Amino acid sequence: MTPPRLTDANGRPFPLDRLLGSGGEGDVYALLNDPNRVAKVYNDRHQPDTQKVEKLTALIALANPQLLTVAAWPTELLLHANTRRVVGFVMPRLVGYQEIWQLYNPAERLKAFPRAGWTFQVRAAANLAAAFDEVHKAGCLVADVNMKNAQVSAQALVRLIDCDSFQVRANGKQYLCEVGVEHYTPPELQGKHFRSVVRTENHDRFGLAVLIFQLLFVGRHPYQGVYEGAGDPGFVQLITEFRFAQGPMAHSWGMAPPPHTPTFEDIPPEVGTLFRRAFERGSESGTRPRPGEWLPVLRQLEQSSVECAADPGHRYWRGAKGCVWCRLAAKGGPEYFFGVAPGIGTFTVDDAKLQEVLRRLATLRPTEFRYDRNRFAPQVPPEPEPLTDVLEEHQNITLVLGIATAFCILAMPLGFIRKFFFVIALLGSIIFGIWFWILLSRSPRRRELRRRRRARTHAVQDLEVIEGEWDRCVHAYLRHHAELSRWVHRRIDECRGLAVTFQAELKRLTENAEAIARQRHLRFHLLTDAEIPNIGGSRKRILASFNVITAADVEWDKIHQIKGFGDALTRNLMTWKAAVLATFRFDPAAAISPGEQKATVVRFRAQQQQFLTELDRGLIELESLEPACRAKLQMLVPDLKTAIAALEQAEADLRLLRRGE
Amino acid sequence: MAEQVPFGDIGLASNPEPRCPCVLLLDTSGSMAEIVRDAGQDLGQTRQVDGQTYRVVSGGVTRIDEVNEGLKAYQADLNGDSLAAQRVEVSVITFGGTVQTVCPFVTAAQFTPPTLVASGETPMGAAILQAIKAVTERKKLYKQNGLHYYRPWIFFVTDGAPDRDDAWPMAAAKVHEGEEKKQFAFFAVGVEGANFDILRQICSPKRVPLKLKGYSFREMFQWLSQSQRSVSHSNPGQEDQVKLTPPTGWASL
Repeated sequence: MTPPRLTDANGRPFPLDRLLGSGGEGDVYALLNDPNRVAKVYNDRHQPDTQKVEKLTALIALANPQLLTVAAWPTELLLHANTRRVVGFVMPRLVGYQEIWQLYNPAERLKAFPRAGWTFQVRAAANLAAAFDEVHKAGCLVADVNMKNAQVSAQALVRLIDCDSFQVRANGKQYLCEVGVEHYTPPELQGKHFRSVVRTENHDRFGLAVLIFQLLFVGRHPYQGVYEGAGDPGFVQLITEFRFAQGPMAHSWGMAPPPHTPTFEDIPPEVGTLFRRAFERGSESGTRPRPGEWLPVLRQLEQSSVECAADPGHRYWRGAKGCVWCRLAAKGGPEYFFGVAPGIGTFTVDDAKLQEVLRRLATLRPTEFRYDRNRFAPQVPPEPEPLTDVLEEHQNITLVLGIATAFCILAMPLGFIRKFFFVIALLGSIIFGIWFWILLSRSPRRRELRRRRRARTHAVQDLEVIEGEWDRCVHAYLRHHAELSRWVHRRIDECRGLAVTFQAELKRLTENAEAIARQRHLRFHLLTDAEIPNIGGSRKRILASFNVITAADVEWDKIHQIKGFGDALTRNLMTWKAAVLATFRFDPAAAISPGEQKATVVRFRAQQQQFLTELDRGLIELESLEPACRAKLQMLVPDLKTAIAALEQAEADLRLLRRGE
Repeated sequence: MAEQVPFGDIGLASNPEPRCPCVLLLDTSGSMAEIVRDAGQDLGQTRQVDGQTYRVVSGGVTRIDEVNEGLKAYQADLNGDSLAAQRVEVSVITFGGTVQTVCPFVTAAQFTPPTLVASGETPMGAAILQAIKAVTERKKLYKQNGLHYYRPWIFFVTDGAPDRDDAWPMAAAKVHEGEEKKQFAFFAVGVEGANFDILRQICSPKRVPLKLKGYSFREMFQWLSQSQRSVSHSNPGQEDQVKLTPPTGWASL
């Protein structure tokens, strides 16, 4: 794309160089012969209207050396060469700056600012405050404060960009900023339409405080915490309701700091006070800290930071109770500043910790909880229920009748002497027999026997139910124990396996790096510089027209297709490529960039930490199984005792009755 | 059993960005093995797959091949934007024979596009229910870790109709409820052969199913990553106000 033809405000041609980048509003070009400035040219959809041109003119009039060192401040208008309309402006060029979120986000920081420790971020926070201070002094507001329009250099210098969207006051007029990002919009402006809102310094101070907070608190937003109240309020609602997640009062509005992050204990009280003034209710009335208030406090914090004895990459406030970064990592959190100190480090499995886990596991052999009925039996054998006299009496009558029946039956043969005796004996045996049978079948003794037998059966069943419950408890416990133990062993194996996966990952990265380096090597060898048999200037031009320019482009199929390139010529080219490849040297040791290796190491350490945390939780649960089972069994004991006593009673009762038979 | 914490717990803490979770709920039933271009020789055989009869040919590019290509483009595009790569979280759930979580939630920066294989029937309802469950659990994890999130997306792509006895009516009810309560946004895309009658019943009336033009999966995934990039740069809670580019390149209503 050819750059548009522009002139400066005086109509002198203003030549642009190549396109550097495109944004939503327009394109940014380098300038011919001026490496320190760039031109922003609006695209067709964002052509500046009269208001915008006035605003740009006002901004340019405000430009001063201080502003130019803290912001990409417009310095000159650019006009379209034909239409003479304002289509863009000139501003300082930023080289080597990255968006501020890439510094405060710990995962991104490892890549973008691999050597930046906590004090680097404190310094960036102070520099950010200084930049805001300059803008406010000029009577302007950043207005659309966000994670991308403050940029940071490798020296922690901060530059504000997108100055043409600032809110500007000039010649008695306010030029508004029509956009905003909710994270950086104060509670009192949430939900308002920025097209009609005149923002104040107090609003800008909110956005500044949020960015400073994010730099100091590992990227967390001040209203990002664990909400303890009812419902599920969204983020906007949390901001609107001033639910600041840190500080001594947070609990009173139902908030707690997010897990694995620093707290107010880790920063000086002066800094904490400023944050509270920025984020707690009441701050909307104009009391948020001015940029100038942050400067001395943050500088003091940087000076009062100390180096951790365990890891020189850790720096923390002297007044804290020990190194906050070691503490968070020890409690299962991320290693926020791992490898910030020189030396990349590598990943090794922490076998000592795994051994410790195994030792703990060894002490957790399952208890058998063997069941012994005698343990719960009553100490004194039960007194059997006595038999009543009725039983005795009834037994005697039955006996007499039995004898009488037998006598009558025996008397029947007397019928041979006289028939009359037979009739008497028969009648007698029938009458006595029926009577005897009736007495026998309705015997209270039999009834009592049945009753006592039934009582025993019931007692046995009752006891079996409770004993079954006992068995189930013990079984569940043993099964649970075995499952958990197996899980712990599996996790340990997985954790040990990380070492292998890590090596494989490094190998993969190295291989990638080798492929990329080889390709680059080929691309450095231009066809035009090469001396290849039978390939002269004209053939080289033909090849170039088919986009065969470097050794990387030389491929058999590709060349062979070109008219006039037969087997011989193609082979010559391939031979040349092979010769180029033969000079390729690759150093695997230097293949992986430090940032890449560090990111990999951090990922594996995090995964190991995760496993160790899970193992710890698993062991704690395993430890709790035995007491839990014991308590459950203990609850069964009273019922068990009652049931056993009932059974022994029933058996004693039954024994007494049988003894009489 | 100890409450198992999926890996990523620490990842959640070390990346403070608000998350933009998205479940790619992809049909991998047998019909997705249908060849869409570059078919080779007809081998003179037929095969019964997923309720239809197909001729067997050699070579060719199948629907699922196109999906796999699309997934790669999707991953590459998201990673071209470092902020989106830290904010967008992707999970891939497939349904072909069974419902499978091929890839649990990871940030786009850690996402490796899987290579999907098509086979089996279309357990659509069960798949939708699993996606809703995954989204609900992920949100719980965000809350525990004090992270903010954008409304989750469930991006549902199918080329068929639910199996008989499938739980789709229940899934439809859950989709309607979830959309109503703004718990998630459910996008459905029907490929040639999909039962649009049922898709319309599953979707919320506010977000009608889209019909894929031909087999432009790649364009579809590109649209998806572009949309997620713009959402992830917008403000949590205000995603509705972000103008998504109309899906005209690859879909029709």
